[in-house]
Amino acid sequence: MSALDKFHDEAMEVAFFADQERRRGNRERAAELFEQALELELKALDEITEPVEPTYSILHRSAGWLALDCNRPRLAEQLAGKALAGDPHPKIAEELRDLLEQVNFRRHLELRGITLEENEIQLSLSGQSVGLGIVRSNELFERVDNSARVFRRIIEWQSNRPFKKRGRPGKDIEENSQLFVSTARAASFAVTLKLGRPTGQLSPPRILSIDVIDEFMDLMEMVSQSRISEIKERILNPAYFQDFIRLSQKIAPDGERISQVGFTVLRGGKERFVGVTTPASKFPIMPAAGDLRSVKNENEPVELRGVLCYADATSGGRNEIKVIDNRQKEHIIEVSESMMNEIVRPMWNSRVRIQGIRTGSRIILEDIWLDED
Amino acid sequence: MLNLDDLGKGNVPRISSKVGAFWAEAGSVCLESQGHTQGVRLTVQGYYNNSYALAWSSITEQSRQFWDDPEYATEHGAVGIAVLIAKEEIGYEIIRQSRKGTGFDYWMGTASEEGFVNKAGLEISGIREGDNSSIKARVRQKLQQTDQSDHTQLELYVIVVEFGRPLAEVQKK
Repeated sequence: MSALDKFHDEAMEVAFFADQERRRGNRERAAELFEQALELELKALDEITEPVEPTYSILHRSAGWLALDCNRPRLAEQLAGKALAGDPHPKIAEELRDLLEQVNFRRHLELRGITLEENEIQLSLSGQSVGLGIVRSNELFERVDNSARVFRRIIEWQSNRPFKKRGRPGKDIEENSQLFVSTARAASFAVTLKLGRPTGQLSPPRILSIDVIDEFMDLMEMVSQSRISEIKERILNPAYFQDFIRLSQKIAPDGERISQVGFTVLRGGKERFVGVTTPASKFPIMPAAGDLRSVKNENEPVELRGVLCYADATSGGRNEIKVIDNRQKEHIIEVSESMMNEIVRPMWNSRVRIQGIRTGSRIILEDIWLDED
Repeated sequence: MLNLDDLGKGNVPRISSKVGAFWAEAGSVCLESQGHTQGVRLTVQGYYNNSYALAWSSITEQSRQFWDDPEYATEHGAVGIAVLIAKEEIGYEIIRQSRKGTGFDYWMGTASEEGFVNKAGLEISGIREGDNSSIKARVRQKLQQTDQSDHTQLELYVIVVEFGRPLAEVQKK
């Protein structure tokens, strides 16, 4: 076996185990192993005497991704650039561009001299709706709003509060989950979110902002890696779990206007990043909440657009909304209680796009978005 | 016969026995989760048509708990089965990985060339339990991901493993 093959194979094995450690949540051990894997992959690259394709570009791409795993975006950029400057196979060239895109996004996630307190988190957006230091307002505000809702829910479940389907949270929860937004930075667009420090004592155990933010980062990291089963193990209460998935879907990029959503915190002097690139449409569809009647398989999926102009939270014990489409036809839609408060209510009197299941004359809501078109 | 345990015995050149054993265990968990017992026949269809008896070591409760995330187990179990099929049906002995995103991609070839020269790309996907349409849809999705190599000489295979029957659909692009 050549030295190149030997180093590369060793690098891949070490990276394999680094993945396992990262998955177990052993971030420090994972970081050590990724460093080892990168070192081995760079040694494999050193063995290249002539840029024979596709080995040259595949090894550079592989080392580039490992460099990102090691939080060395500049090295990843150099590796991708070097391979692209050669004559890579079109498939590998495209993958190298994907790597560069990630490098670019990582650059946006960096704090660049901004200091974050332990109760602060940076939210970064990039995509077509984002210019340097400017963003379509709804893209930002919806994500800030939904992040605030996730923070509040984390505090509630960490305080062992039952899932509250409607109404305002308790005063203590409300005070602890207040979110403040800084001025924007051009990165493509980034703001600091500051979670209100506990002013009082939550019923046991006491929840600290740092723990809430760290939980948020862990959960968003799982979202970014589509580790939905692990989220379910983490959030044991099904109502909280479903609510989190729906809210994280609203935070996630749509894949067009916003292509990436990132979060950064500072822990022990080191930056921790989570970048979500999975579009919301790829998220699992949460079943309608258990308080809705069961939906039979033969029922028809339906999508419609219109104005959400009416909502009745008390109709026969059911939560209902009414959407009027472009032909002025009214559609009555049944909504789970958990979705009504968090997702639907903020959209009243707005144009919306709805996905649901038609059962007879009714539609049961599965998902709802503000309609930008 | 395809024996998943072979993956953990260093019988797959360039894949360490530890990594191979990891895939084998994931595959075993997926097969047993579908109620399969030793000797169940795996149907290979698509570019190749064949069937193989499958063998594996019984899994422990500890393994079952480790692999309690169905998506994770299915993903790695599919790699184990695909590696064995690649060797038997396509005739490539070497399976190599390279880092892509937060995971790996796979290449296969023969022992003689260094690096990735004359290696064929291998896209692998797993479904724990699915019908024909979900298998076809997954194969289509994987083939679409390889569209960019249409006009080039890079050889590419897609293997989708479904554990419910069990079945593996192999397509060449």
